Amino acid sequence: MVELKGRQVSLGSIPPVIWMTLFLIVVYSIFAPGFLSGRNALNIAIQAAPLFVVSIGMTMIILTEGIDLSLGFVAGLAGVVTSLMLQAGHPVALAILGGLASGTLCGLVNGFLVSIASLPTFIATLGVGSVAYGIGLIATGGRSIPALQESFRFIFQGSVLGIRMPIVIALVVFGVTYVFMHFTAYGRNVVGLGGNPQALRTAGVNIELARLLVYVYGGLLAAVGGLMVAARTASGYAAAQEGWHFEAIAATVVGGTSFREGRGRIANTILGVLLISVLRNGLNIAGVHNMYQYGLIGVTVVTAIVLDVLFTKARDR
Amino acid sequence: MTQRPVVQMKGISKYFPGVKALDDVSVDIYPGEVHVLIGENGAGKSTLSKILMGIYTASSGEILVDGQQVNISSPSVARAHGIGGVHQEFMLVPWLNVAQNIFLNREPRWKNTFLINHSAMHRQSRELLSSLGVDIDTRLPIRRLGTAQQQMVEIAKALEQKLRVFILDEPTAVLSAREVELLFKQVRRMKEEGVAIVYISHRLQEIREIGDRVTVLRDGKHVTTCPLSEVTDDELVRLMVGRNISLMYPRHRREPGAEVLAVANLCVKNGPQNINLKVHSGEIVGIAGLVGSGRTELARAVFGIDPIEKGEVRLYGQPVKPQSPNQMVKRGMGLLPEDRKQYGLALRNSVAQNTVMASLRQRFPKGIISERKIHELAGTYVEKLHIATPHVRRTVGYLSGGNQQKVVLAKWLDTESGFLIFDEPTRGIDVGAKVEVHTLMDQLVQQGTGILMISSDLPEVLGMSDRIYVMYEGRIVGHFTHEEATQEKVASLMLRVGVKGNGRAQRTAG
Repeated sequence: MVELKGRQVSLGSIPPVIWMTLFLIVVYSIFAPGFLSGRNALNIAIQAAPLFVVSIGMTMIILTEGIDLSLGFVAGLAGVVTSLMLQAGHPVALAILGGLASGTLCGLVNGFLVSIASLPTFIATLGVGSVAYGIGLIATGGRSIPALQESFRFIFQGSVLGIRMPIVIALVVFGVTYVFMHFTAYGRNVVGLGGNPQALRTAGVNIELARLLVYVYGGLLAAVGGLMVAARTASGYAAAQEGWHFEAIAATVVGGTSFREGRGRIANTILGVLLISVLRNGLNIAGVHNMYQYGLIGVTVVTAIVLDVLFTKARDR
Repeated sequence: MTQRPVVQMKGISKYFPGVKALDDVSVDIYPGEVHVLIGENGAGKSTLSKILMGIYTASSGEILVDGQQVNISSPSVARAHGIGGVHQEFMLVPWLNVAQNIFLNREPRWKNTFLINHSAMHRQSRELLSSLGVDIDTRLPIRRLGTAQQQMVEIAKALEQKLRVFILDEPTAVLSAREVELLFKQVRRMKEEGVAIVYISHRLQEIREIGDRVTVLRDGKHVTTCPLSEVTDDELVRLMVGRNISLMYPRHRREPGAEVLAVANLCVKNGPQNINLKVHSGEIVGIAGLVGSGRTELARAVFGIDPIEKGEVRLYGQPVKPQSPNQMVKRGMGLLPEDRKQYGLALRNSVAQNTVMASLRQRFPKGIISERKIHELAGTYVEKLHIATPHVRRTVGYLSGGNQQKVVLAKWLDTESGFLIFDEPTRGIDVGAKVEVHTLMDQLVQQGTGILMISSDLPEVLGMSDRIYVMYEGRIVGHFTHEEATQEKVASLMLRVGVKGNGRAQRTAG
């Protein structure tokens, strides 16, 4: 037992995802020289920011007992749209709006298919993702489009008062979403859609609209994440974030959000994103080839989920 | 009744695919009355109440509120007219807390904003719950509450809406006697305030206590509406079922045979402690007790769902360590669970699929299934148990409660187990189906099966059991033979009347 702000916190009540992250930090500190430094910590935060933004949307969708398998491609498409608009000489603000609009539109289509047309979320979002990817490929001929405008890169990668923009964006998105989830009827709807949609319906909530909006918001956040990456790499590329749905789902589930009954919270997803980001960063520093990284991430994520399930069972007993 | 009815339903009919649930039903509801709806399962009571609440829309007929024709197309329209209530299925969100559920979509806001005022919401929730006489932490997620507490939250939620027409669809099925009393106090208060209450229940005794007028439905048709004081219980039962049935418990007592189950010093973590009991072939052993006294937990442990901390279990004379339901079913045990919708049935599967769910391997030892045989088999149970279903391919979820329970029963009959646990076998099912279930239980023990029956319905425990154990706060506090047991003796042990407790009894009940 540890005394913390007058509350008794037992070591056993700390979720396994934190233990695993600490474990990785210790291992990397020994085997990956340069890992343990303030600068690298900042690096991890900056690298984690886009995934965190996307994972917030994913967490909300999973809370409604849905899933979104299009987010990675939607993010890629947003980067492509903005890059193409910049290349065509449109003002930066308009290009960014264009990118965000493309993500929102994809989210709207997802939401329409899932909520109004009642398709299974799996199929609907898989289809929309494939279409988004296809459009991105056709629009670019499969090439990466440069996005070099300084003001664009500044908005998503620069720093304000010494704080890097990715961190600012992630915190703002988190803050806004947090307030919405905990202090507005909309957040309560998200949890209710997963838990007992009939209860919401009898309470007079338009559940179709509520469900649709979750996907729209998810699409918008995917676009924000996509633009953050486009600014970092100074380019838009359709396949830039193809692994993101897996990582976003993994971060959500590792953070303890359940696919059932609307159990979980967006704050926990930070922990899942951190685990994945620390793992990635350390592997890069240790010089592990990208080829091996997929497998190792998979193993880590599954281990974390198994530990979390065992932990939850033991605690609820 | 000189006042104008607050709600008039005229010629309401409702069709579901293949079923005529309501056929030209007309009922008037007056302010300040408790209007009881009774009828067998499938008679259309719940359908009628759901039409009023806007959950279903009527296929034909009209509804008048204050003499004006209205179109109740959704629950929010119903609520705008002041109509709402509590249904059989809980309308609660599991991972929202108690206060959030009570104020679902009606959350108090901070002035001039869209932001929810959590502290006001919790304060008002606490006031509502304490006016109901229950003490529940409003910050707990609903998931963490027991069924009775969830029901009290449902009732608080309906009270909060300040309704003019308050519909209660079998609200007491999961409540203890004390909670029922608290609920009735609220109902009487609302009645004095001029609220019209539509009350659906199977418990005749309860209806007598609270009801003013009664409407009897049978097979979707209106049979009669009259003041309760003008009909006797026997008449009501006859009106409901359309035939004379005996309210007596159909038992043929016999000498018990060999021991089928023996439990010695059994302890379950946070559950029953030091349990000793025996069940013999050919006898029904009842367990009486309050909701929360550990009866269901005992059944779950013996059936291998929850882990046993210590103690011994013998089945057919052989020591066993219950570790999973799978293992216990193979050894010849069955459990009809308290919550049949969650644990007893695959609601979206057919009657036939549910019937063979536990006996598939027994029926088809080679592992190759014959659809035709399953349907034949299910057909014989449908006939034998009088399961009201158009065909065996019907989705179980569409059947009424009593018929669903018969399907659960068929499932265990088909395993030919020598020992069955019945947890609340007749909860929420109508008088006719109840008698049928009881008759079947009697036939089973005649053939040598041993039955352990958990029930909150005291007359049922007394009428059906050969021996009775009484549980209180996780322990067995009394044992009676059929001849010794009386309602007073069992109830006083259940409630620990006259024993200076530590106040925990009240908490268990609340």
